[in-house]
Amino acid sequence: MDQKVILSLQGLTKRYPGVIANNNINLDIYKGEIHTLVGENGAGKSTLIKSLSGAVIPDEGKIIWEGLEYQHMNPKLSRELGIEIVYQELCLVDSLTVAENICLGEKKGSLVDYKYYNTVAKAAFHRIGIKMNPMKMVGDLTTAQQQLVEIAKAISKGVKLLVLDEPTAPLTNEEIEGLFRVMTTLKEEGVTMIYISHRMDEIFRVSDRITVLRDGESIKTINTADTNRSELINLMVGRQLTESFPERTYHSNEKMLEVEHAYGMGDSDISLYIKKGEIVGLGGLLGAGRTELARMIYGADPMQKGTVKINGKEVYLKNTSNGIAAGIGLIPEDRKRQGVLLNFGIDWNTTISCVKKLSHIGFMNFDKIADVAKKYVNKLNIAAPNISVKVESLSGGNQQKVVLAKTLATESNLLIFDEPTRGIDVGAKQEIYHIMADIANEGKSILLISSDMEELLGMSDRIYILAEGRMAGCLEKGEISQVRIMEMISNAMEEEKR
Amino acid sequence: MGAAKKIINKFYLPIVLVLAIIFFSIVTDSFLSVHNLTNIFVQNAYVVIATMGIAMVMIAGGVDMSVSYEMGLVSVVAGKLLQYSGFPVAVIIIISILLGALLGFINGVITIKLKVHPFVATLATMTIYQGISFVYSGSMTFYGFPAAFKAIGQKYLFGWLPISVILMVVMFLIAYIMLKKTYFGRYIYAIGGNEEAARLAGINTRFVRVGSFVIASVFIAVASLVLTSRAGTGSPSLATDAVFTCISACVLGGISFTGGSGNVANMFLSVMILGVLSNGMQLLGLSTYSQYIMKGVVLVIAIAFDNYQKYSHIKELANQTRETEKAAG
Repeated sequence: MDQKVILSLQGLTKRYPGVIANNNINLDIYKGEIHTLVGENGAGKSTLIKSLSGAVIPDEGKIIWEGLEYQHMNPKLSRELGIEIVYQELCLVDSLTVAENICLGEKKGSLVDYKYYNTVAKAAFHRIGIKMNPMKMVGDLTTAQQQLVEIAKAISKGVKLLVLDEPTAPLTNEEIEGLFRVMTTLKEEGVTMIYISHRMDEIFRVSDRITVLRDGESIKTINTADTNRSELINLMVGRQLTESFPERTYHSNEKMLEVEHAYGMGDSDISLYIKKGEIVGLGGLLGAGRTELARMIYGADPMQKGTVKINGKEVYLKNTSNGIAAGIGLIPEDRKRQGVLLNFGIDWNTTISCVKKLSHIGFMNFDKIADVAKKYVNKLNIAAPNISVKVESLSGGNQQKVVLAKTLATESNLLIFDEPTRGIDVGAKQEIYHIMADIANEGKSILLISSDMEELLGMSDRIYILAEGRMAGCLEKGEISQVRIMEMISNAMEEEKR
Repeated sequence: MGAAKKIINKFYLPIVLVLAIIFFSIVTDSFLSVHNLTNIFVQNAYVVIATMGIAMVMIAGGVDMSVSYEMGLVSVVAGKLLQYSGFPVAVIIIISILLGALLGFINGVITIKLKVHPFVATLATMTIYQGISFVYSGSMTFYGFPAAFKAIGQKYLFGWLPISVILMVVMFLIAYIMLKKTYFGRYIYAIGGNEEAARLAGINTRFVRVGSFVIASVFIAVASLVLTSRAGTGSPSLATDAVFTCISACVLGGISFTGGSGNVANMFLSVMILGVLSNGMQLLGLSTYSQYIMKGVVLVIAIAFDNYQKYSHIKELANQTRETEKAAG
């Protein structure tokens, strides 16, 4: 392979409030190679590729493309240079034809020239060696076909560097083979590719070199031939633990929650239990079905099959108010869209789930509402001038505490935390950890979903691992390690493929 | 933000209302009289009542396009019963209100079952209710009502206090108390503010959605009875422009189409502004059509002002966030 560098990232850094998404990343991409980026959720892959597309402006560092230096990209520039990105969420218009999608944004004359569009589309398909009718509606295609349309679109724009963000995640085995054939063809044509995937076997099959990202840093770049699976996993997870996690005192053998053979929302045959005073983690990659499971347990989404027992008694959850009545609380993953009512006050938000109980024949008792709100503002140390201040003006950490207050105010015994510290600064994180420990010490139980490995490992007494909607295994306190978790995930994913 | 600006932002409705009253008092001789001012209240009593209902639906993030023909249908059903059935007036009033509740229930159920925006659902039911009211009445109007019924819209207590205005005040208070004092009212704000968050907070959003429509339509039925009584006729085309007037008043009163905010006092002021404008323009001798133009212009200005307020709110939030970030380093 000729080792000409087509793209070089030097010292690329991007900070968000409370987190460094990319920290001094140095990366050379050779012309014509397939270069894989691996790393856990939140390792900085997305931010990195968004810097390439111009969707993210790096704070520091430079991007050198074919010898020319740029401070940052913008979407138009990166397209002109020949950088195309196929995101997990495809950017196609369902109600237009394949050909129209491929030529979207192109101007030729003032009328729609289907003949020209079709020629362009056919030429692109020919180049990647597949057959597809350009007159078909994109909405009628399978995900795999839509992906190929995206790739054809990139080809027709004269792509030099194609970035594929977890392209195989939604595909069947046969479709994956098809995609790999296309990738091989593209490689022969001299197109450089950056490939992102969690699936080890695929990584070893297609890539020439691999770069491991961890906590926003580029850890190591290796030739695929010179490494193996366990080395990669160790590189991905090998980090020093920096956070401290609070001590816990409550121990019991009584079970608070038992889920048996749960099916639904893409999950199948999931069983787990949580004891009183226990914090149980739910690990897995994005899209492993963790949030879906949590929502089913809470009653927010229908469970097709399976039983849920609280305190040994079976509960039937048709909606969220059933869930709350059964003593379950959910702190949802998307704070702003699912957790809080942004333009309402702290008092409203804190009591919205229990306001019925604070009412007499339908009329709200405003004194009681204020008492409850004040109690939790004090207890959780929510920083706000008064209880009627609108939640939208609070910081992320305080907003999260308001969501917590709302759930605690319903006096639930099982709390499900879905990504409780995402986008929250370090100080507030520590506070949330202490609150969680306090809850567990009161004999309540917690199910913790987190993509933050350190948090998951530090907080959990036990961890269940989900992969692709199935239970991949369970690790007891003594045997929990990041390496074990990643191994379990990748084993389960390979089994799934067979 | 300057103090003056803040005051204007907060009290723009009363300011506009006072300005309109001053303006028409100066340019016409007959505007500022007890008789005319009472008249404005009587003319708008039903509008206020219906608007309270629509406000309920709009705060919940919906809208009711069928209001005109809900009123029409209630009017002809009540009218026919009054003219021919010989039932006691009280019974007929109860039947009319139950009919209103049923129409609202249908609006709500279509919305949640078909998972469409209430705009679409009620646009369809508007046509259906219109059709039914014409079929049921045979395109006729009903009249010759008992005195007890006519009293609702026509009689004055103590010779000066119109019963319709008392009803208006009562319905206003009911709406106010329901939205501000009951937990159901809070649920209405919550599902308008963020339906998914409300659902995850344990609120039965489908029940609240249907409930908001039922309550709204009860208000609309009362409005219809008030107008039917005042006009002395039951007719399918009783209030064809109610949909425009009520929704305009809500928008003017600061309810956004996305829901989650709004208060009934502002709705009341908005109806009064529109009422004063149309009364004043009549006194000036302007035609109905030129009045339409003016009302439309007022609405555009109201929307522009609402947008301006929203943008300055967003800017303010952005500034706040930036400052906190700076402070955090």
